[in-house]
Amino acid sequence: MERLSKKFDFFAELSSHFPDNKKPILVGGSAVELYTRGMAKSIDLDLIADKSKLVPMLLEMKFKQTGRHFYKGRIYIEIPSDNLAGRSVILKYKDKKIRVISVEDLIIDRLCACKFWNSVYDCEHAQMLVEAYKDKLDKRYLNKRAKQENVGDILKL
Amino acid sequence: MSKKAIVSPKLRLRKRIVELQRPGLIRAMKIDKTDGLIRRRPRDPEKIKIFCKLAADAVKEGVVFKGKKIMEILPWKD
Repeated sequence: MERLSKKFDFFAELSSHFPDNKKPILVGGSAVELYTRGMAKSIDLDLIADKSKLVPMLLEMKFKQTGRHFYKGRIYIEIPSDNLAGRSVILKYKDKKIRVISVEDLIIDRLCACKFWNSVYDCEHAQMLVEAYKDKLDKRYLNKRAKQENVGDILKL
Repeated sequence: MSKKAIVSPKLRLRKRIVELQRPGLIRAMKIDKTDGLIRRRPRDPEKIKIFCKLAADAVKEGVVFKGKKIMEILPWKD
């Protein structure tokens, strides 16, 4: 039987408690892991969510909190922000709906880390996403976002 | 056994880097999330090409599209 990282099972289960427009949005390394189906790895789940709703739920599930970080067993969650500057998509995962940052915005996010943080790791992730989704990307939107974030020079489509 | 001998090579390397206090190195150490070791240079481009191909195959195998829209991501073997 196929087995997926436990964190995605948990994320899908957590998402099922929210209506579509209020679901936490998966961003960061775990979003890359999901979109590349495990080819890139990340430990934590970075979620953009309404903290006033999500934090009490996590605490009720016995998560321990340190600032914006929450952990329980081997599941580690960070809630970096309330708002996503970009698009998110709702997709199905194991018969549950989850909300994830769009591939285009994820590429831009990784390119920003690549260029401005000199993070080689993120450069590679951006490249993997572009290659894996090259025929499916909204190139107009991607180019627009790249210009906005000043990463057009390193975006190679 | 002297105290020095029980410090692992990895820890010694980390300490040396901190001692050097070179901004570029410190920045890379903070950002790199791989395994605690520092990776300042890109990996072999050939290796990245293979990773990209594997990712593209994984997407082909297990991402369901409707047109260009992603509808579902199927589980994969860890």
